[in-house]
Amino acid sequence: VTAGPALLPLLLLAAAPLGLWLARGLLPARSRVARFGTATLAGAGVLMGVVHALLCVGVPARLGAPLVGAAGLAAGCWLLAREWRRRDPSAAPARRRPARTALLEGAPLALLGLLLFVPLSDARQIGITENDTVRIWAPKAVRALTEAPPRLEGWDQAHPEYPRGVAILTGALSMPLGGLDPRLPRFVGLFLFAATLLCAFDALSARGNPWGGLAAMAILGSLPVPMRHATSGLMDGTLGGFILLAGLGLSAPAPGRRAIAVAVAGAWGALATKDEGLPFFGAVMLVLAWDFIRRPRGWTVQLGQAIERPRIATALVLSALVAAPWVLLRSQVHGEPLLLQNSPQNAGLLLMRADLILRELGHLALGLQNPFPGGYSQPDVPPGGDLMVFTAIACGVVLLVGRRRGGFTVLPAMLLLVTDFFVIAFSTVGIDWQLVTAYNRLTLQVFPLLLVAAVDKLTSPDPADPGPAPAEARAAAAA
Amino acid sequence: MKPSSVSPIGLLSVALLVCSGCSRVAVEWTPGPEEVELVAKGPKDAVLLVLAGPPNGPHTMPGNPKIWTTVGPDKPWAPGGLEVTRVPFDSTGTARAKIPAGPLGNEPVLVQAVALSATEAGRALAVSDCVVVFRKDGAVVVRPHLLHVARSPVWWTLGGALALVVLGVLARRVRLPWRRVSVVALPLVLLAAAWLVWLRARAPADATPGPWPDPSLPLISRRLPLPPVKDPVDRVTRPGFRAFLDGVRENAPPGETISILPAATEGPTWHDAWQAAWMLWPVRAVVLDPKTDPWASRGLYLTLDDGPKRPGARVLFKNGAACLWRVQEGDPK
Repeated sequence: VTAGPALLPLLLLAAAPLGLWLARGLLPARSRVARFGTATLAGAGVLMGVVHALLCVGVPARLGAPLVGAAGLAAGCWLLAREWRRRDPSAAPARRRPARTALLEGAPLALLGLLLFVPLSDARQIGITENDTVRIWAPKAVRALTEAPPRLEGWDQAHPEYPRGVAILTGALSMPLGGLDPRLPRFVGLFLFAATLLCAFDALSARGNPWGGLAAMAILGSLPVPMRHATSGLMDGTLGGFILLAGLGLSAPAPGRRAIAVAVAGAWGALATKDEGLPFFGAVMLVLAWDFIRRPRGWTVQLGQAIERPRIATALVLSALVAAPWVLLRSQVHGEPLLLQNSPQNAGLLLMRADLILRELGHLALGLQNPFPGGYSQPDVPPGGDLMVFTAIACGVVLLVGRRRGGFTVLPAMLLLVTDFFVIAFSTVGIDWQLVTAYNRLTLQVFPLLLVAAVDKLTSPDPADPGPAPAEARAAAAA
Repeated sequence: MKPSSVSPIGLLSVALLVCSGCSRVAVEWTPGPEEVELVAKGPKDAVLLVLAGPPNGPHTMPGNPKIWTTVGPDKPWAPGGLEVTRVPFDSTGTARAKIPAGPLGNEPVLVQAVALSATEAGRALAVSDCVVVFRKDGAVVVRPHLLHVARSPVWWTLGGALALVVLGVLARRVRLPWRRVSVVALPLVLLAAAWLVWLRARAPADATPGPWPDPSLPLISRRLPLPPVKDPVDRVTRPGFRAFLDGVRENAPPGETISILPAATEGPTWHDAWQAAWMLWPVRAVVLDPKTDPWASRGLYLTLDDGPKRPGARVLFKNGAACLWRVQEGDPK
């Protein structure tokens, strides 16, 4: 059975209805436009994860994408229609004030258009040019449709350890056109980045902070590095979108199956997007498993406040099924060994490496003294001066200072960074090379979530703040 | 034990200790005035190799990359170590050796012992703790490398990082009146966002990435310094690339894989080879190592410069910049 190429874009069409059902009731959607962005990311994450898992067990995406897309489209539409029928007809629809509606629906749309006008016109005119896009991602987009399971060896497989999720999306769009247009990888990345911007607005506006949402959108869409990556066809910005989505699910003020579903959708999307998505996926699963174990008083996320144990278990089992084919396939790629076995004998060198990592990070991020003068660092990445890294540091400081209940869960993103720090310290590859290539893209991957969490912490109204106590209560407390 | 009481760090530490015990050579170092004597306990039927040099590792051992050392051969950025001595383990699993300390100066030298298999040439079985040997007041001193590093200025960096962590923990305990903070912070965050949008609005219309840091992307208009070519393929490659690809696709025998032979692994040729590889789809194409010898095998080849790399090959398609050619069985070499 070979599905016709025309059916392949069903995969993208299915993302919105499926995601709308998944994200429905997650948070009070103050902006339907923004919720559409969140839903698209969630639907894309689930569909990519499933098609990618099928690809890894031998079902080519040429077949898997239309089948999963059609099933997702049908299921999403049916579930949405069912919920629509079930709603209480006597309940009066909430009155929306025109000015507020204009702000919540029109402002993010207008800002999105303003921020993405030039990148869209660039993508319309120019094909991909980045070395990694040309050498790594575009070949995978072509072959993901036909090669099942994906081949992990050969000269034409640069970085075979990367998953093929976004490559499947790109291929599904390109096949009906008769060939992979070199502009398509840029359009797919931009589309997902637009969804990420709307998701950032959704996350904050749903907490009663539309101005903060607009600020987060503007910051994310104006910094040079995220914008350049969004239009390049590279995967780090896309991965950042899925990490934001998972953080949104894990931090939902109204815990329940929708929160778990959105967190898992983000984790699946991350898993299928890039290699760093695998530790992030593992971190989300750890957080869910921790919540499962520590219930009913989970301290990492708020899911533990509700009776969600069976749902968490279901999410963990489904996630294991989605991840297992890729993890098994991926384990066949043997890279550089990790320096674990004799680390106690060589603990002095490991201490020296930890020192070098810290000094190199200080050099790259803040422009401090170079610990590797004459090393083999890339000459085209001079240190310091990057606005995104400075903003990320500022966000980190904001998130560190003081506790505030009901904030965003950034723990999985931090676990991703710690894992990568660990891998770099225990890797045989030179530290300067590892960090030069890693520090900027790792920052980009966690940046959307860090930014939204920091803006939320600083600017959202505090629902937990009881305000000034009445005089009687104060007197009673004093007594 | 409750599952929640098992910490990942504890599990990792246990795993590391278990792993290290499997491949460890226990060495007793005895410094003398003119030499350092060592007694090693290790596997029978093995040879003890003692290395000395600077800490330029990690060096994974040939034949067993899971085993690694601090001292080893040359690295691009540092001189390598020397083999000092090589002695076999006896039937009780003991090896004794003496390292001359006469040439030793005040500069510390790292010494590490490796047990090599006597039966499998070059296969490492275990390594010892790395130690530092140096002279202090005329006497030879042997000290664990870990201790030596711990007494070095490394602790300024690690102590600084630790101080930041402690500061972070303390900062978490700060109590802030969030309602008042948000009143001040929201305008500040909006101002920061407006400033970044303003940077984009002010960016020159021809701003392109690099040199670092990247300039802001223009907000409204963009005049790219590119020729006004309509075909987007020509924007990423040389003019005429589309016609060349179409020609190759039309002339390639169906079902065969095209092997693209770039002239080098860098520069435009390398870029073009990869562009061609994925843009030839649905014709299957792979990029070969430029060192590949097309004389060795038959097949369908594409070269992105002049003609075929093999005399006598049958040319299927050729235009000014590329050539598709076939090597068949029986073709002259």
